[in-house]
Amino acid sequence: MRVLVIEDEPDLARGLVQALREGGYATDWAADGAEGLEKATASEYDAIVLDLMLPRLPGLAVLRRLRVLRKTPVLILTARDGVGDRVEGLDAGADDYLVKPFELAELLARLRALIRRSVGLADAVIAIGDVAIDVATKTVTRAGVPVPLTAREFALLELLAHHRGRLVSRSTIYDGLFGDDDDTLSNVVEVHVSHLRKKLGRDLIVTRRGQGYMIEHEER
Amino acid sequence: MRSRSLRWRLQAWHALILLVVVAGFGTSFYLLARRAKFDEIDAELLSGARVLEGVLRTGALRGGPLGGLRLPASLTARYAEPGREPYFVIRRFDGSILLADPPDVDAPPDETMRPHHEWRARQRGMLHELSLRGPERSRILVGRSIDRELAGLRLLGLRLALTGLAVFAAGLVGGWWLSSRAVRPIGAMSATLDRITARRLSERIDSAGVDAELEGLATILNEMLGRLETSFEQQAQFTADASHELRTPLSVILTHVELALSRPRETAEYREALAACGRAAGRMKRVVDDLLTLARADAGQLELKRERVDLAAVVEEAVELLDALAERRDVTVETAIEPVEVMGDADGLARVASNLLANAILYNRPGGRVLVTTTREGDEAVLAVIDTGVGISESDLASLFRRFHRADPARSGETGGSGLGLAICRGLVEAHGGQIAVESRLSVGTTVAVRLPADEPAGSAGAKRPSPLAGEGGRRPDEGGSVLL
Repeated sequence: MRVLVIEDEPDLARGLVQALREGGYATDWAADGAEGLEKATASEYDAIVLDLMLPRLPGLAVLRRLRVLRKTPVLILTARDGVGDRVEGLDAGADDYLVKPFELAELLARLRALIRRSVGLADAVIAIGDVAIDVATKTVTRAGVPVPLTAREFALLELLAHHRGRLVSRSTIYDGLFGDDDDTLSNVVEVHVSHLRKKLGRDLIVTRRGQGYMIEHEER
Repeated sequence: MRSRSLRWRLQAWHALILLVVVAGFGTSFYLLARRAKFDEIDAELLSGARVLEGVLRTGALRGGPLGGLRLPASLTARYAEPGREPYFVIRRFDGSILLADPPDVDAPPDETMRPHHEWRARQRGMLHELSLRGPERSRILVGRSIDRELAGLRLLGLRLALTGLAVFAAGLVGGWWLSSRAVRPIGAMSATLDRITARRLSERIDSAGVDAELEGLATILNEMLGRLETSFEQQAQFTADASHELRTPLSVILTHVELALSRPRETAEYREALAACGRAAGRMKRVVDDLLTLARADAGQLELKRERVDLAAVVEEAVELLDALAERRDVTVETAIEPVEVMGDADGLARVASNLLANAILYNRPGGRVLVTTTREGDEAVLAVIDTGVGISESDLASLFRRFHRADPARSGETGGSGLGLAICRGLVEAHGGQIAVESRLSVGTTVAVRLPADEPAGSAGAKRPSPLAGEGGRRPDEGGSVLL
């Protein structure tokens, strides 16, 4: 899952980015409205966290221009809590709204719900055969038995599960797992896929050589 | 309740005035009627007495015939009823009775007669008597019963009283109706005002179809409501802005604390989190301090010293202080400083100078310039900050000194300012009895001029001038300048 944070206050942005990365999202940061719009349109994000008061281009303008091109779920962060402000934000195309000061736990929960809804899932638990993926608690069970996964493994599984039945290209996986400035060395997708197969069964993830990976629809 | 008491008071005054008028008219009428009646009786008795006097003058007092001495029949005949006939007593100079008719009549002499009285009338119970000076110091007293006349007057009095009462009652009813009519629009107004609360200040009193005086009142009240509404809106805006200004740093603190506590961390990570929290808390502190300063300025409680301050030194210090910022922004700061002293608070003035200079640097363009000057113009010290910056649009110029107003709202994080700087500057300058004016042209630049009452040059310090900090000496800040603040 790949998330973009558009926030100009550097301390807040750092905190958000770190929290999102630790929550298993590949997270990018844009420090002003123009940069945010550019990033948001340049690549495919699963969700965008957008501050309203931004230099260069105000948050609402970013939102309106983004909506012309993309349907990416947007969660607005703002210090203004008037009903009018909320209505304006939602009408401009925001999917959810969080007023500062907020708690991280709530931000993460809302983000999960946004992403879940955007891929058409009502439930926080995705079942694939005997494997159950709980997006809210970030736990996976196989035949009722908890299976420990690393954050990256979980993120990869969640990404494939959200795109179930569709082929997910290697570059999409790469984008979804690692942020722009993510310099981790453990970014080899194949390694994570093989770990997941070891833990959850060989045929859970299908490889299309040279194209990517997918989790197939219920045929098994 | 208030309109009701006004109505009662109106009614009471109306009743009182009505009572006085009706009673006055009634009493006057009664008294006039009574006077006319008594004048008539007096004239009648006097004519009788004159007849007797005429007879006496023929010599009766000196032993002439008295037998024929009678009141004229014309007089007596009118009171033929028994007990009501006129009677008379003629006394000699020594008080002895010469003649009385009827002989046993009991009519003591009138002691109230004075030498200048030719005749005098008196009332004794139901009797009316008239005494006349006769020849040779004799006294002629003629009297008769006036019970019928008195009864007539009583009846007249009673009728007048009843009529007066009826008029009074009708007046009261009319007055009640009138006062109801007069009070009704007031009632409607107060009902409207009653409905208007802090939440519904947009409602107005309907002034159509009410009397001119009340229409005036309604207009005044409506204008007052308008000002109240504006002031409430500003207050609400201010509160919203203040909380808004605190929300972002609060979010920083919450986020970093939550994040730091979510799992065990390296020492360096804790350090970083604490540093972020510290910066956010510092920003909150600045906002809170500024709010406090403004609140004090509003309440006229700024604690300002009053000492001789060299404005030039203050400005030079501010320029030095902001040197680094200017360099970072690639802005050149030039000065043209003439020594000029003012009486005031050095810290406060330093804050004004550095705040204006910081704005001139921040809202400038790379490679831009700022010119700071201090001059003495007549009895004013003028501090001007002229920049080649982005300028301020006319619409922004009007709200420039509004609290939390920012030309560019997104600059808050960048500059760390609270958005209260200019409002505080204005408060400080005004507390010094000065004024602050801004002129600006978009993309040309902005000139901010602070005018303060200058102190006398050191040599002539003996000449006392009014304290610039005492409100009276200060000019109102709404004159002159292109925008006025």
